Amino acid sequence: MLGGIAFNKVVLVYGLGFLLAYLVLRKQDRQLLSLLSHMVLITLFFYRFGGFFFEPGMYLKNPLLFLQASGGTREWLTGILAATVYIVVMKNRYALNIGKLADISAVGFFIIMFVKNLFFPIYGDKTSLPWGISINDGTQLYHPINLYYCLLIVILAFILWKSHEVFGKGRYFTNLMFYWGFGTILISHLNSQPIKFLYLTNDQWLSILFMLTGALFTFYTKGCSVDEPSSV
Amino acid sequence: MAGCKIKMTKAIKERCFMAVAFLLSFLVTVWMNIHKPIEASEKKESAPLPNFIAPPFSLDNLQNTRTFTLGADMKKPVIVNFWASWCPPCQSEAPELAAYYNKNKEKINLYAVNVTKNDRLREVRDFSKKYRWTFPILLDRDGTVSDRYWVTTLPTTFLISKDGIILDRHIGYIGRYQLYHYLNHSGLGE
Repeated sequence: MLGGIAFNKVVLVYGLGFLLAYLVLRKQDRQLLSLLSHMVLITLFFYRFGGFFFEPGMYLKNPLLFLQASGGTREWLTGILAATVYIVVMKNRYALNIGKLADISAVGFFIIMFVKNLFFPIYGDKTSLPWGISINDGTQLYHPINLYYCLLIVILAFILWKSHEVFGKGRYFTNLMFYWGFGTILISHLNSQPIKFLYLTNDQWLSILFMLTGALFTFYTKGCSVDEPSSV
Repeated sequence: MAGCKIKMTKAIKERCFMAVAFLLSFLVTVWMNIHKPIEASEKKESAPLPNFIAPPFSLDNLQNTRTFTLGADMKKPVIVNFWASWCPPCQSEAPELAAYYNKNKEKINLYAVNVTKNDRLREVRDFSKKYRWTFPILLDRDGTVSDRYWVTTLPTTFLISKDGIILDRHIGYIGRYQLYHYLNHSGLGE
């Protein structure tokens, strides 16, 4: 609270992550960066106001809902769908470099994830390790899953930096997605969650999705032109 | 062209590595989930997270005729749904909750905790009448319980076992599939 105004910590942290990502990536393609910013804004718009499209009567009856209500899963999905439609339209209008778009979005995404995980604790299984975090009185410690995610992002960034991959060919996207999925599925064993489907938890399915996305994107990056020296 | 060939070979090697890593991590994870000892995930502390002890509470119902208590040693598993009358996803899930409770009230309890601090009692009554809710509607007048359950998004739903352990936490709209999944999750499914 600042006077009569309440600040949402989640919004502030994501805003900070977004700003940091923008500052890191601003030297890259300006047009792509603005397209990605538009995609983020479209997704956020639908998350915040998407409820109107599902329950218009309720919003018209009580317009204050535009200020009060925010969305859930379906609003997120609508936002992501709208952002995807936007990028498809833009792809047809401009000659977009998909590899560069993928690399910028992956790096931006992981910067935001890093900032988010620095501030919001995720309590894993019980541990006696000295870096465990506590919830109530500190008698019981739990694995700091959020800090493990941060560490994983730092390791991935270091590996990418050492491997001298060329930015803009989709290699950053492929590696970040695949190894993030691989790392998080390992970390998930320190964070017992309810099994949802086919003996896996929601988080583990998400990790599988990341790995698959990264692996399938190698088929996009397989192109090899004669004038391009191998940089792998 | 030689550079291209080297790159293609590397790409094939990389894909093979990814495929093996993917399959191994999938199979090992499934195997570990099946063989994980139950005590590994048990947490004997109170927190609004899966596998933790559900924070206990006592709240009056809408009619102000009875106090409902959540704690250990309950007779049935409980679904605790935090909601408000002005929240659009709460309105969307309201008929689902009513139908689900009417069909399964012998097996499972459902407490609809209204975040009354941010709502109006008249609208809460109208809402419950409109959707013919027959389950207890509890009033969290000062927001203490929703704070204790770290409720930042409405609706938020918890599945709590009869021993008072949180089995699942669902943020946002909860559909029929998820509710029926809860029956199996709490060991009550057909």
